[in-house]
Amino acid sequence: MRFGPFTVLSELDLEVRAGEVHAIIGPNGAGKTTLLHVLAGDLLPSAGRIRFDGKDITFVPMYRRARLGLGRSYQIARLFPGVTCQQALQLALQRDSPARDWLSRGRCRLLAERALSMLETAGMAQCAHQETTSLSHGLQKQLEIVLALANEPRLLLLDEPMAGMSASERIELGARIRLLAARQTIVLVDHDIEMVMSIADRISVMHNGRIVVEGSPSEVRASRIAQAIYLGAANA
Amino acid sequence: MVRSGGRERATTAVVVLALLCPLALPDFYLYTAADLIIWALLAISLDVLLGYAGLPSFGQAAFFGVPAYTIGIVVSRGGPLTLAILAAIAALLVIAMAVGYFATKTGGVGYIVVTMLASFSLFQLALVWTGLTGGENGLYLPRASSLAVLRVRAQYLVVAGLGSAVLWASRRLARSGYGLALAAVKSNERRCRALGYNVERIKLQVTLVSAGIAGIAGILYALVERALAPDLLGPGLSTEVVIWVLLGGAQTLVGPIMGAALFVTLKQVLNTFESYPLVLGLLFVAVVTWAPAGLIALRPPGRRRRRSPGGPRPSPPETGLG
Ligand SMILES: Nc1ncnc2c1ncn2[C@@H]1O[C@H](COP(=O)(O)OP(=O)(O)O)[C@@H](O)[C@H]1O
Ligand SMILES: [Mg+2]
Repeated sequence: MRFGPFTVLSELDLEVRAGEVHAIIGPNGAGKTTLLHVLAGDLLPSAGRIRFDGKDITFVPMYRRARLGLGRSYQIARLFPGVTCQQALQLALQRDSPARDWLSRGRCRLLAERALSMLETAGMAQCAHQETTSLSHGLQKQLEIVLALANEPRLLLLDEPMAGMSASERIELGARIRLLAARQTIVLVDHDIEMVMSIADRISVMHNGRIVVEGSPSEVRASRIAQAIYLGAANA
Repeated sequence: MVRSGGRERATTAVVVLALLCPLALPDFYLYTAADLIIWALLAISLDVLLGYAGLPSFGQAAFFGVPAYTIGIVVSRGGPLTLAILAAIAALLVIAMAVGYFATKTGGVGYIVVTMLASFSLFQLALVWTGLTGGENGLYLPRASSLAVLRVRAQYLVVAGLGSAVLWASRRLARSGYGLALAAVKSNERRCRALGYNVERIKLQVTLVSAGIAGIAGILYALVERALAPDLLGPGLSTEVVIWVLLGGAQTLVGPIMGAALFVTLKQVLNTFESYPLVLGLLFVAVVTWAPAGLIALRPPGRRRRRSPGGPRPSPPETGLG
């Protein structure tokens, strides 16, 4: 992946197996977010291929990738100004019904009710009528995940879902991700190494746009390169 | 986004008043009222696009003038009215598809540029292609193939009936799940894509809907006013519509209707002063400065609602748009 003269990702080969939680860690600027952008279709790679479920999706636009079952949350929660949480979730839910259903009052009410009950399940019922952008940072990130999960994606890409959250929120979210992991393939980018180690089946360590180490949590923990890069950069 | 009872009542009041006018007023005022309804429709057409979907069309007159001119062209050559209306719809569809496609494709500021260019070039074309359009002199529809065959009251009822039907449909659209998708596209395009929405298609669709509403206004104009001039296609009118919408208050439907009525009326009243555009311009600047949400957001000081410091006011659990 290149931005003008800057090569941000190169010689990168990532394979995520169905059913696993695959964590990507690495210092700031390593290219983790860019990698997720490329996977989700936010950015078109300047070279290389992306396959999902055996299909080549390199040139499939983002909205169609989402429909194929690729859900994602963004590192920077910038949701929908002027739209309430319930509406945002209703929006996510109505995606798969034909546009003429969007005009039906009964159908909309039904989806609105489903949206509300989903927010209740997520413990966010009290935010239902608040504007998405008026929520606290932690709640916005939580809502992101609820939105991404609304259509039961087969692959969930989470970009630093815990960044900016309080310690208790982190623990709660960690437990949720573990729960999700039973049903979903997840690519998890995060800085909280201990959390990542305890959730992930496999870990890729990125540095300067490359994956330098890949393996099980214990393998990565033992790797000298990973320690050097990660701890070195983190302490710098 | 937040639905208020006051706006609900204002809408009903506007519609009822509009429909009651013909019962009380002499014929002359009916013409004026029908005119205002036609301009209001044009304002609604832009509010759907600019207010609800956030798409800044600066060429709305193209969608208004093309069907109007098509009717004029067919009818002035002796074609029957039904054929003229069908041709107008076809011409509108072609223009709206072309403008919508390119405006959406270029996106952002490109939307402004493409729509403005469409309006400007059609205006020039109408001036130059005198054989077809009558050039500067414009076209005049014969009485027999216009609404003038009806009595003034009946003419008015046709306009008012269509006008309220369009207003009603636009409100339905704004509050539906489709309106929600428009609001989301306006508020965060990229997120919409990430959720699986084909944003380009939605933009093209809403451009077509908006063009359709403007087209209804244009067709009514041709059939009621009967005199067509290139200005009806031009950047002047296109820009004026933007002012109506912002003046009254975008994304409210009622606001732009009021904006259109106020602006058009003031223009007629102030017409006698040479510097009237300056007065209108200052009014617009004042509103944008002190009431950026438009005139409809102004409330008498005593009744101004206090905002709770934490977040926006709650909206009802339905789609809550409008
Ligand atoms: N739009 C862009 N244009 C130029 N450089 C960019 C752009 N986006 C990201 N980068 C660069 O790419 C590198 C990787 O960024 P990013 O993927 O956000 O890293 P991470 O998420 O691992 O912190 C950084 O050096 C960043 O400056
Ligand atoms: Mg990042």
